[in-house]
Amino acid sequence: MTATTDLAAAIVQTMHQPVLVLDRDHAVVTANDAFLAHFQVTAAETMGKPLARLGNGQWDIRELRALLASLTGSEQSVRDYRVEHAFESLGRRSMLINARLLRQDSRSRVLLSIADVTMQEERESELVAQREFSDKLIDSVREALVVMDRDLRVTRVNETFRTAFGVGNAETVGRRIFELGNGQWNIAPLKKALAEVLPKEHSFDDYEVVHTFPGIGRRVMMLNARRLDHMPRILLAIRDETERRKHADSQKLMVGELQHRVKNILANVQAVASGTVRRSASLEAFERVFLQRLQSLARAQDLLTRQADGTASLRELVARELSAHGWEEDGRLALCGPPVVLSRRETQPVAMMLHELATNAVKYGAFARPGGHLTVSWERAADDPAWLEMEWSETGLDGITAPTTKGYGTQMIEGAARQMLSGETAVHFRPQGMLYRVRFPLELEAPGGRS
Amino acid sequence: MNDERPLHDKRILVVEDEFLVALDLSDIVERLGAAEVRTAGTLGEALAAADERFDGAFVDVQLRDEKSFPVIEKLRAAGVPLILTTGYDPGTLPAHVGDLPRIAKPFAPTELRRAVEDAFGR
Repeated sequence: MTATTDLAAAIVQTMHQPVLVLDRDHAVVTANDAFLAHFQVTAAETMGKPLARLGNGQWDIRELRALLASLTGSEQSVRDYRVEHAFESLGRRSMLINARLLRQDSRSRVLLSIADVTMQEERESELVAQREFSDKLIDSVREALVVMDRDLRVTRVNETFRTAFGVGNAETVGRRIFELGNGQWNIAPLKKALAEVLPKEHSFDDYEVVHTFPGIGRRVMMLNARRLDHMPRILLAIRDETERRKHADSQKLMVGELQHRVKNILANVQAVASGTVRRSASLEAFERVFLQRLQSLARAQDLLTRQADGTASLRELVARELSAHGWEEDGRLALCGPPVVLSRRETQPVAMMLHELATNAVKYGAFARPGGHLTVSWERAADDPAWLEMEWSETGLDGITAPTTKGYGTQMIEGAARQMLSGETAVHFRPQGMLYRVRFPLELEAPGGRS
Repeated sequence: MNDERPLHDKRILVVEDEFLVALDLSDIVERLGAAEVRTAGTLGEALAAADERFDGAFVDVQLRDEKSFPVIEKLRAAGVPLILTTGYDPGTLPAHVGDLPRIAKPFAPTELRRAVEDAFGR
């Protein structure tokens, strides 16, 4: 009997977990060393004391009383009974208690083994929180993220990755990265970086990989990777640079094109200045003619920049050029013709022609004398609608004759029509006013096609 | 040689894709005495024009989207004196045309005259 009790006491003593043996009145018969140490009490304070009185009544816990009350004849043991209690000295603890009712003859004993799971629960909830945190973090990152194990087998991909590369979790998790999407990711430079660089360097940054994927086409990617030290994990972040690169490239092209145009404009301005200065009798005459020519070039440029596609309406070009010389559509000026769109290349020579014709009209023709009348008309050629026929007809004058010398303005008109527009010109000096005809092939088709 | 009119009575080809520049150069060339000036704005036009006989030519190295080397070769083979015209940024010209007299745009009158004397003067 005593031997059995001693053996039981010895066993209780050797256990790592706090154990209490209570009698039928729930007074402490035995408390093992683990109990005394864990709850920071002495044997004298504990032995023989009713459980509810231990440590100034700290153990008078409602749930514990309920547990002990439940140990009746029918229910002799309870496992993992969770009790949370704030102890004066130890603070809040979570305990899992196993209880067993032992009956021997008339004596009954209650065996309580108490597992303090406070730390464990804290760690677990911390782990859960950390996992949740890392999950949210991974999904919130704008770059595509791949988490792999040391064998480069994917354990996770984030939303950005799934969207960018059009794959689901099922097609990624558990596979080696090089096997993803039927080997789409079997990219030699990536393989080299992951398999050779990473084991040595722990990380790499801004590693550029250009690859053409069957589904999404050519992509320029910047890769960052980290090998984690305390976890068998590799993080791979992929930034899709494709659009940004495209944008940068087109920007570069646009700047180049702009530079080219600026140089052309400068060359043209210089040529106009040089040609005008040779034909000018005085600085005043040069200034007037040169500035007018420059303004005409500027007006044409202005008209072109108004349209997003860099084209210009012929009617508007004619109206603006004549308006600049003080002529609006009224009894003396008539414009007639269908809508015609000029390309960027055509607009400048047409504007130049109109400018020189208008300048001549102001000096010698329809705008120089009362009674003068001007009709500017145009239509697509009957024999070939790809060609435009334009007519500048001055009337209402008398005694008009051809000039004896060809001025620079006339040379510009002819040069513009023939060389820049690949067209043909004809000029007739009728007594009632000059008639100028030009025809040239249009670069842009009519809105309804050529038929 | 006429000092004031070094191109007296000559037939000159001007290859230049910018019309206003071509017009200006033609005008200058006429003032230097040329009897006739023909202009070409593209390589195709220039090659066709080079079938005819010219006493000299001004050729822009860079036409719109093409280099004018083929027409330079053709004119050289025909023994036509040549002056190359280059843009603001001529870069480096290949060796086979590097020995030809050249003027940079915009043309300065003295530089132009020197190049003309270089090409036609002896």
